[in-house]
Amino acid sequence: MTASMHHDDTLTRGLALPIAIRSVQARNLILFLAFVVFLAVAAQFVSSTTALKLTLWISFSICALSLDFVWGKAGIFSFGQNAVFGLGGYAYAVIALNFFPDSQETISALLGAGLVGAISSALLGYFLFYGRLSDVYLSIVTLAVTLIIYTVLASTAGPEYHIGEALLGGFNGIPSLPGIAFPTVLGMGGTELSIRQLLTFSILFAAAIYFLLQLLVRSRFGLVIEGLGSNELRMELLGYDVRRLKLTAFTIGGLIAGLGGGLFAAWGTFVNPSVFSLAQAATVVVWVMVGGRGSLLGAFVGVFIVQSAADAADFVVTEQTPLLVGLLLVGVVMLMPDGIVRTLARWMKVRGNRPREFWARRMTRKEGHVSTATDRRLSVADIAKHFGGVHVLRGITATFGDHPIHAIIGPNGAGKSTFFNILTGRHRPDRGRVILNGFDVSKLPTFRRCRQGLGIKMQVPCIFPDLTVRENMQLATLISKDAQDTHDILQRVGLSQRVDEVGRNLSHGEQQWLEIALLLVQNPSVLLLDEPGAGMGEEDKRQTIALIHSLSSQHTLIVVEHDMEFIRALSAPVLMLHQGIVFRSGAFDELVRDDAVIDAYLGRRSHAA
Amino acid sequence: MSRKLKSANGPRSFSRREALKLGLLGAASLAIPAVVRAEDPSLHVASLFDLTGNLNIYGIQEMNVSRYAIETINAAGGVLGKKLVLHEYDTQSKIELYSRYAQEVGANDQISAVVGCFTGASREAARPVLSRNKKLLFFPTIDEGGECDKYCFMQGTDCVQQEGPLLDWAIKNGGKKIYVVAADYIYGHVANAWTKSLAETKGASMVGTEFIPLDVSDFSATIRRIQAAKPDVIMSNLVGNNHVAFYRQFAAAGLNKSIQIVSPVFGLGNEEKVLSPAEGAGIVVAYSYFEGLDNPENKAFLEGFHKMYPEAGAIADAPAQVWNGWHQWKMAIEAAGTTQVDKVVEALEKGAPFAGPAGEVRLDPPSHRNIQNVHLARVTDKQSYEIIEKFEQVAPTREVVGAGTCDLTGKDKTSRRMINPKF
Amino acid sequence: MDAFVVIAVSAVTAIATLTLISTGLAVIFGLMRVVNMAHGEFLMVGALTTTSLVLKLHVPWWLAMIAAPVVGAAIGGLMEILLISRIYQRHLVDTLLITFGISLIMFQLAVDIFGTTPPGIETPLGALTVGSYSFPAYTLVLLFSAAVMLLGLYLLFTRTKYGLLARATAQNPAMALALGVPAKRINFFTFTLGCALASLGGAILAPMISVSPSLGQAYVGQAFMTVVIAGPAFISGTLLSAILLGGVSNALSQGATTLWGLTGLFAMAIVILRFRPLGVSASWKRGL
Repeated sequence: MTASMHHDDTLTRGLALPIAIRSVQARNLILFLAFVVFLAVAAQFVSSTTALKLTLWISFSICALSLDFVWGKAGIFSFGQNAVFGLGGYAYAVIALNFFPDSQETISALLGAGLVGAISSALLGYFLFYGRLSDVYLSIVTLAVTLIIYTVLASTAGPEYHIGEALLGGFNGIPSLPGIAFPTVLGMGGTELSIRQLLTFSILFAAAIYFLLQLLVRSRFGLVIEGLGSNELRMELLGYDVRRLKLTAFTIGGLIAGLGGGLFAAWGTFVNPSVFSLAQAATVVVWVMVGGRGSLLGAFVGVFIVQSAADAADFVVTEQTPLLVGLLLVGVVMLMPDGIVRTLARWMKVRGNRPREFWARRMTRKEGHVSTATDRRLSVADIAKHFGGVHVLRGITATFGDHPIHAIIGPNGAGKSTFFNILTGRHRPDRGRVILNGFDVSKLPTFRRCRQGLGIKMQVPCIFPDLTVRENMQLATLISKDAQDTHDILQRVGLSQRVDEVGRNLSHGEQQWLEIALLLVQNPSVLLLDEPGAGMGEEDKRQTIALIHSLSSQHTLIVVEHDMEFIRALSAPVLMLHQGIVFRSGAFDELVRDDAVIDAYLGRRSHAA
Repeated sequence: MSRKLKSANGPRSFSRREALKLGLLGAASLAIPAVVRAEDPSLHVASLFDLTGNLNIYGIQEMNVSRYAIETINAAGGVLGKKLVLHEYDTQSKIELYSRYAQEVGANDQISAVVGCFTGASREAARPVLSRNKKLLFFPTIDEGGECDKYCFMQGTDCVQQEGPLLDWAIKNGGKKIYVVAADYIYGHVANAWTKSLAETKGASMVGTEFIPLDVSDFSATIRRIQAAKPDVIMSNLVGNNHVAFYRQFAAAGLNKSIQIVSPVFGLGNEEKVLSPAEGAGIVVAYSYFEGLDNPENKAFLEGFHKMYPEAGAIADAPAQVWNGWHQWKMAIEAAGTTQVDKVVEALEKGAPFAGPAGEVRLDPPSHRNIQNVHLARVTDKQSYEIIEKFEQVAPTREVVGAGTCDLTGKDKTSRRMINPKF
Repeated sequence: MDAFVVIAVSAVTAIATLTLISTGLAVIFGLMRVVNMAHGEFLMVGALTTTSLVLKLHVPWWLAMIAAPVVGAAIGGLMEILLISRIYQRHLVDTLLITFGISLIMFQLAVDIFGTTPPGIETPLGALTVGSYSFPAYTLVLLFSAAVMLLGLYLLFTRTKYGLLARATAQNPAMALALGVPAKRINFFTFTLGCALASLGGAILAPMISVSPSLGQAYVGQAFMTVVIAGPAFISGTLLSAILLGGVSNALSQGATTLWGLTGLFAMAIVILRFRPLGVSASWKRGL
């Protein structure tokens, strides 16, 4: 074990820190407010041309902000953010046309736009995430949905297509919308804002959204969302309901995009299906790309850079906007994939603190809490699984837990990894049951099994590369019912000196240790280790074996491994799979003396272990 | 995205920086008494057209004619002794820019009139804003009707003015069985309603009607249905690039030999040039203005235009209506002796005739539309038009399909809205 | 009876059209997993090459169509070398963004060169008459070319060494490299092939539609829908997907209205994706 030698105080310093944090926090907040007030006042002194342009850009920025959150933070790449923005615009139009004549205010329409954005995103998200569409399929489906909305709204030309007073108008859209008007309070409001007033309102509106989103991102929930964006698999393995989290993030994104769309409709006093065009959908991505995904401020920077570049380009070469946007997109992706803001920051060596640290999330810690799982048993009965016509597993029955450590071996193609995936819940068996601590978990998804006390260690280190060690650990403790003392665990794996290091900066070995720490802090009753020795040097392997032994007093460990030396050193009962069944089981030394075992290996490999 | 004020092209234009200054002054000018400002030696007007983007094939020429008209008026001494200054706005084929620039024009106290917009949607984005700010709008494109705004003047022909003559000709030369293919948007539906009611009064029968979404370009089902219905005449209200494929596939099925196509919109998208000579030949269209019209006004109009823009292409109906718009506005100002908007409207509603390049035009006061000549032309096998018939002084309709009438000198005297047609 | 024949021809034409517009994408996205958002622009390149050759140089239409994929391949190959080859290892979204950027650039360049409404070419071969109906004889060329394209592709990927290597490289690049497959060259060739096929598809469609720089945008959505629904078996899956989508949309167009046809296409796509998120061929054991 590599317990750190001297006592580390990074974590215990927590008490002194908040005061310092608060002053920094307060200073930033004051600066932010001052800046917003300055902009809001300055808005009154710009020309109407500029005011109109800036208001438009702000509404675009809000749309970009929503994609920035959904994509940059939660890791969901959607082409549909623009569609939600457009739906927000339509919602504003419909609500305003129906209620403005009586109420003389459109704030309700603006909020309604946000609501409609949230609802439509939730519906779309349900379809996407619960249909288990991933990655590229997700982006293509969102693009298709955008085009479908375009087609549908473009064919609503007839007078039968109306919502209350608002005719949808098909391709022509809905004209003559009222602008932003506040309800009459104390004799104020009740009239539509002028061009400059609208700009001031937009600045305050966007600032409020930005501020609330910052609060959200810096909260515990924000950490969870970032975990999602950083490593979805690990989130699931920690026991998070990834699909629901994604849906939540997507819905929040929809709310923001909808609000932006409402502002857009109020700005133009009209809305039509062209907001759902392919080019517009892509432009949103360009904004976020240029500004830099993941930095919320980047959304604004991106819009302002791209739009003013397009404006400027118009003076040099006219009507070449698509060319310019295309070149910008290609250039940014090839040369600065992190976006302009981050790349510039890196070039100028601005290494600023990660913003989150100012708002330091309180560490969840339970003083000296160490508990031992009482029930630590995993068993399977008659597991079978086939893919196409290939029967990979043909009836496997086994019990793990009589002994603290179990090893599973088998030649290539024996069905080891399929069996592992059935234990984790990634695959559903065709028949048979998986019992964890007496509960039938056969039908439970992975994250529920993990919540029931199953810990899963992947072959390659599966941690949150974008988060610090501290945040990695926080994510593990947040969801755990039986969280252990983080400090202890980190000391045990030798990472207590590196709590503020970002995951990706750790060495390969350290990442392995961090992953183990993530598991330990949740105190699982059964730990599944997939080739824990893979890619490790001799020294690391020795340490790992020692760790496994030390863990075996509190957890049941199941090790799937190729490395025969590693298995030997474990001195644990071995289960050997071959051709989809349990071929042999018993002590390692017995197995290696068994000719049938050697034949099984020789059949595939040039030399036996 | 940006407002473009090209100093090279406009007879008088002003730079972006000046625009900014003007805007800044705009805020301050509220405090300055009107008397001081009255000393401005020029009259300001504006045009909103698509100089860039996919609609610029129309917008550029319309803006050219707009500049030409202003230049011509200035060369003849201006209006009320003042020179005109044209503010040019490039709406970049983006509908949101219409509303944005309309707001800008609306906020500009100097500008009193606008000739501009191309599509009905763009007009509806700009008109309410302009109207609210008491700016006159002259709209040069053909349209389906329904506009009922005291401050808006429709220069182009309406469905009745085009389809009436077309149907008369078609029934006489083709037959009485009519099949309608129309784009599935408001114009298509309203035009179809008019075709139906006009056909009834003229004793023709409708053997089929079909609405085609704008992004469809496979017409095999439509062409089969047409063959099943065996019409004599097809009334086409198809628009846009995808729909050009209809004429191509129609010809490929050999139907262009046996069935006559008439259309009030063919040519708006350069269809006669996009189609091959063989595919387009024989299609009959109706507009007020064609370049080939033989009259002294048109001759002078074209001569002056080509002197100013030797490189510019052919002039279609809409740009010619821009010319009419500026001149009718000028005549009204001179008659009223002021730019005060209600007085100008009053003068316009006197309906004084103006001799334009397509013949005499006169405002029909209740509808704010022009009584004008309509010409029928056939597409030749050289991708051009030959004029085959002239209908003099065709009156616009005051009726809005399915939604009553518009009478801007009577019951709708204060109307500032579009009456949505019902179909 | 004659109506039935005409409807059948029209339905098969719809299927052939979908096949022609998606085959190139099937190779690039279906096989290589590169999200080529510029696919539509390659259709456009093929179509514009054909119309320009016919109108400007008076080349016979069939020769112009054969020349079109050469232009597509040249542009595609250049794009692969300069950009795509550098980002195979990156996240899929990056490819998507790069190719989208390229599609915008190609669109604008086409507008600059050809204008927004360039002249087209008329449909060759005249009309065929069945009973009281007639239809363009050229539709038979569409059917024939779509069939030849799929068959040729199938033979290429099953009967040639290149085909085997290309599939191996696409499935497991690391393994292929370890086995000494010249992955770089294979990828280059496959991508170029996809672009050439897209251009060929556009070229063959050109005489039936109105050819303009915005042509790509009109078809790219349908192409993606077809290929996504096709799933992993990129040749037979694409055919089945085209049959499902084209068949349904054409049946609705014939039976009801064209609007219903379009709506039906989208509805069908959504239903299939909801129940088969990985495409219709997801559960097929093997095959192309």
